[in-house]
Amino acid sequence: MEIIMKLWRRDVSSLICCTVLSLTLLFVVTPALSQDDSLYDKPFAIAINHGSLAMYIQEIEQRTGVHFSLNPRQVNLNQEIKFALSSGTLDAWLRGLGEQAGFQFEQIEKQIVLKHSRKAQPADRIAWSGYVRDINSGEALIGAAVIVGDQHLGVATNAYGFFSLTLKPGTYDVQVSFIGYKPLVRKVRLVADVQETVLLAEEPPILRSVEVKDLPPDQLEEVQTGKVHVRPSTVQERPALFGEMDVIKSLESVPGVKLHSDGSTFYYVRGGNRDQNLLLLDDAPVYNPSHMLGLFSTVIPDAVGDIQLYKGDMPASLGGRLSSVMDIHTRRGNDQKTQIWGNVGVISTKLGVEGPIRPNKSSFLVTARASRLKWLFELADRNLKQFYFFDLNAKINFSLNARNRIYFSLYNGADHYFNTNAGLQWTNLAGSFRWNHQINSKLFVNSTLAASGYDYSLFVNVADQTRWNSRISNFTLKSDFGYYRKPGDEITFGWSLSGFNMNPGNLLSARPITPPVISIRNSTEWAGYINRDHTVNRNLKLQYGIRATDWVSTGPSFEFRFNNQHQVVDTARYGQGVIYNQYGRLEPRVTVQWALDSLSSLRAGISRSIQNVHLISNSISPFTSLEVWLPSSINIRPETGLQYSVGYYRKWEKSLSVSGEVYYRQMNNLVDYAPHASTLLNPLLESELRFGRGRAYGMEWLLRRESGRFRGWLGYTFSRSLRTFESIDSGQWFSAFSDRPHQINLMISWDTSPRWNLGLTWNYSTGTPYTAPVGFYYYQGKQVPVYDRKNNSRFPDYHRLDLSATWRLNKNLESKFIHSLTFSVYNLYGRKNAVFLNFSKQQQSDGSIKIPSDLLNVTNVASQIFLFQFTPSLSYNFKWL
Amino acid sequence: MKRSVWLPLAFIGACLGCERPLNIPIKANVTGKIAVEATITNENRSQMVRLYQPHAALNEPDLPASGADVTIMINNTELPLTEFPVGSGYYHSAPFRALFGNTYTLIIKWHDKVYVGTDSPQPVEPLQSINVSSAGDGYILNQSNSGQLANFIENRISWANTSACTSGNCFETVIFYDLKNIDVNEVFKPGKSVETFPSGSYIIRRKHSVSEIYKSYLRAMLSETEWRGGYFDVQRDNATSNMSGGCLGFFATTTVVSDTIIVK
Repeated sequence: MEIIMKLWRRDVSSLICCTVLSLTLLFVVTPALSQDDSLYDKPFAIAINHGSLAMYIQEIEQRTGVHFSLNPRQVNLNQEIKFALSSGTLDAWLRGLGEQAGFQFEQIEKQIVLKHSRKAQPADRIAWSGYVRDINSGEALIGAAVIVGDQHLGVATNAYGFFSLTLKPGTYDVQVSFIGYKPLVRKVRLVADVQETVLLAEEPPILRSVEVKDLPPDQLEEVQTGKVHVRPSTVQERPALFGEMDVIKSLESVPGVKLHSDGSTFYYVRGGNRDQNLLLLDDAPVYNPSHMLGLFSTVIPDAVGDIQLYKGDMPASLGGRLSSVMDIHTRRGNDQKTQIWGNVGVISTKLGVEGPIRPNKSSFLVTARASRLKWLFELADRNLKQFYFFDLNAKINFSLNARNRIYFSLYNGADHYFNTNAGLQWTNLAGSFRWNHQINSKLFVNSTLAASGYDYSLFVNVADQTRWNSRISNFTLKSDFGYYRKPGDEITFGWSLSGFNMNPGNLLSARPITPPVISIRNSTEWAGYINRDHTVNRNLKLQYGIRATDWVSTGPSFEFRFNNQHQVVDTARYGQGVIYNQYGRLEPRVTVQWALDSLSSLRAGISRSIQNVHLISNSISPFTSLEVWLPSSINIRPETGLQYSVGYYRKWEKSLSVSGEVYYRQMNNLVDYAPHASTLLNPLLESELRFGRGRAYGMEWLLRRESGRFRGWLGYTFSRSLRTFESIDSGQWFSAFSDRPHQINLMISWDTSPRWNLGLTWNYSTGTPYTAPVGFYYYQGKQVPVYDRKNNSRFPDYHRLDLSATWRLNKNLESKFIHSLTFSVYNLYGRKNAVFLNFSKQQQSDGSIKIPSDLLNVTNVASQIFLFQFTPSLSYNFKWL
Repeated sequence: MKRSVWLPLAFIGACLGCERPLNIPIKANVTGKIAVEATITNENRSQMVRLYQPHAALNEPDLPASGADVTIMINNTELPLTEFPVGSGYYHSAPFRALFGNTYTLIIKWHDKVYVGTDSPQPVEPLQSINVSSAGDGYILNQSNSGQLANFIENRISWANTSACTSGNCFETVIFYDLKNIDVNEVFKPGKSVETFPSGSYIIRRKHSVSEIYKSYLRAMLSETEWRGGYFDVQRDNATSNMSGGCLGFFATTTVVSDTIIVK
């Protein structure tokens, strides 16, 4: 909130915006809250689908407890009606019945009064809208396909499970489907605008015997290229290091995504840099999603409802990074019944609780994970004071009425490693408040206030709190609108305001010390976007849009100006609130999809993206180190990217699909570093930066089966990623760190019986480029390497096989207490995959490899550091339903 | 501090990983390159410049760069150096001392190319007390506080005059660098071998001052040697020399203080 207050004071535009939001909340939310809509909100089903109006009214009275009042002369109770909903609110039922029986209704206290209505002109178009949810938990199903069968028109549910289809009055065959759920195929008769909740039942893979044919594949419904939907269950079924299921590390199996190496949460998408990936957790960015320096990631898969990875071609609503956006939505919690679940593994213990606050209206979800390692290290170091990491996710949602729902989400994770007087810690904090509002049956809006921060400290003296500290924090205020104009014509638009505050690394202390030498940076970003998803005809779909951003640097701050030799020529100081630099950019995008037939399509897209926050680190380590972030400003121009992609998609029966994409990406204003750049406590940090261009291209293939007893995928990627910097190798192109041309990913999950699941992953990639010496010279007794061209060689190829077996301990599959044991082996055949290659060490008499102390007796060896050979683990999971 | 920071890394190392020798083929490309190692000090003696060609594979000897014209310019005065022994790549001057306030320029003409580099000696702080601790039957030398200014201390250890010297190799040289920098790769640098020496050993300590440009070179050189191989390595690159024309190494001028200690 500190940054909000700062911006509130400094930026008039922020003030206006906040005022508008406040007024919006006052005038829109308050009446919505004050209205007693409880009778209307709870969806319910009725067993009959035709009969007299009296029968319907009697049934509704029994289901809801409401009472009806009517004049039989005006409303004919004996008239025959044919109307059905799988599940609908009272409002939906009465609207539907009223259209047929010719009545209007009004709620007076707990009573529904029916009145004769004048015959209205039949509507030309009728909106069928609502939510698709899990029948047991009430969880929104994101990306579910809602298809009007005979017209081959459809829509996918948005991030809150909402859909809207506008059709002519009539009766339609509709199919509602979602991977892993039993598809719903039924008739819908539309006589008036109607809102309903469609409930789908999860279908355990082992029980599946019937495959529904000719269901439109969900991927065909999306025009977006480069989009990967990773189901949380997929993450949970993968073998994991120490049994710690890990959302980010599961990305290593996704074609086009490359992890830095073993033991790292850094990842690279389609030839980009590691800071070009945005991870959003319920719309709040998480800047360092790692624990234990990167051995584990922060996101607990059990709390995750949906994971979407956009590889370069992001929707216009998302921006801020060049390479990818990983959009993670946590589950909102079961609104039907309370559940407790947990996991006990080698490294940590997890516990989660979720349940209804008011059934069908509000629910909560709380998950926590804490490491259990301190006791182990206390054996080695009695001075150990703190040695732990933790995660906490909490989410609460309230349905205010049929049209309004609000969500509060919070994530907090931290690592603490301290001995008596020194140590390090880092903290991620992310929170969001979101308000879903259905303005009408065609227009949906989600407004978000999100804030997040990442704080890293290296304590050199705990007693006086002397520490090196870097920080990045931001807040975002935004509204995203979805206008469902008609089936196959959806327009999304919105705006956002974000404020950033960055400390690029300063010394802090409780005792008087030299004031900060590196300027704190403040920036504000305005963004607006509009996007249209348009089905032109049976074959042609278009998606086109534009995002506009305005990045503003504001004081108080000071910045240096440099000449061409990177020497300081001027120091500029800016007062509080002074706008001293501005970058306005446009990010257009267009994607075309051509359906070859009902099961296959071609796609082509082009998109431009902008990045205004830059991670400054010349580390090649896979581990989280002392990193700093800097904004675009006088010395750093925004990074820009332009991606072209062409794809082919085909689906067969039994949920088997194949997809292939070819892409080419250009990147400008990429950041690299002067030789041995000094990035810590360097006031002239920006003089160490060098700017250049990049290009990446490749081809990604994925054969995938998402449901059934035998699931998984096989992926192959050919990709290149190159860079050119004027000051490096005289501007010659060189391989980027992520330039690993060949990549094969195999992932299998097999339910061998109702109680056994086997998981297997195998990953292969060409070795990572690195700068190998071309010779050595002696200086002060040391063999100093001589380098020629950057990244002129490669590590040995990487490959690894992991296995897991999960045994459900319950014989009774209907048991309310479900528990299981998971045994997993990471790196089954013990491949020694290199993390570092060294030429500076000497083998000791005990076999160890160390830096030589005695400079008169130096005999170096080339060596490799590797992590995680054959690593077995066992974890226990339970769930109380 | 380092121990607590190392703990998660120790976790990685202890139960997970390892380091092993690996045959990594080197595509050598050092033909025509030249390197210089020269430290001109405030000691009034014949100063020496070593010129050599880098070697292609680990542990090979450097080839001397013989037959060069080597000159040191002291302000505007030329001081020629002579190769001795001929063919050795070692070039010696007439006795002189490098003084604070002067600028020294090394000029090398070799194979039709000219390489030039400049440095100026900086003041040095006095040596502080030595830090020796016992280890088993012998002693080890530890790095200790070395003052406020960047420096390095060369420790030449000899036990040739003791009964413990049973082989011909009774000498050690250990250098401690204190560049007053903050670098992650130094904070988390890899472990060094522990060398012990017996009671009665002589330690000659020579503390060198370091100019800003020399400090940059040493920092880069250490990033490629002593600090390379830890868990927070930085991008590899050549250590930037003060010599022009692509010459490797460094021409340094330092102020030296020294003492001799007998360990008992």
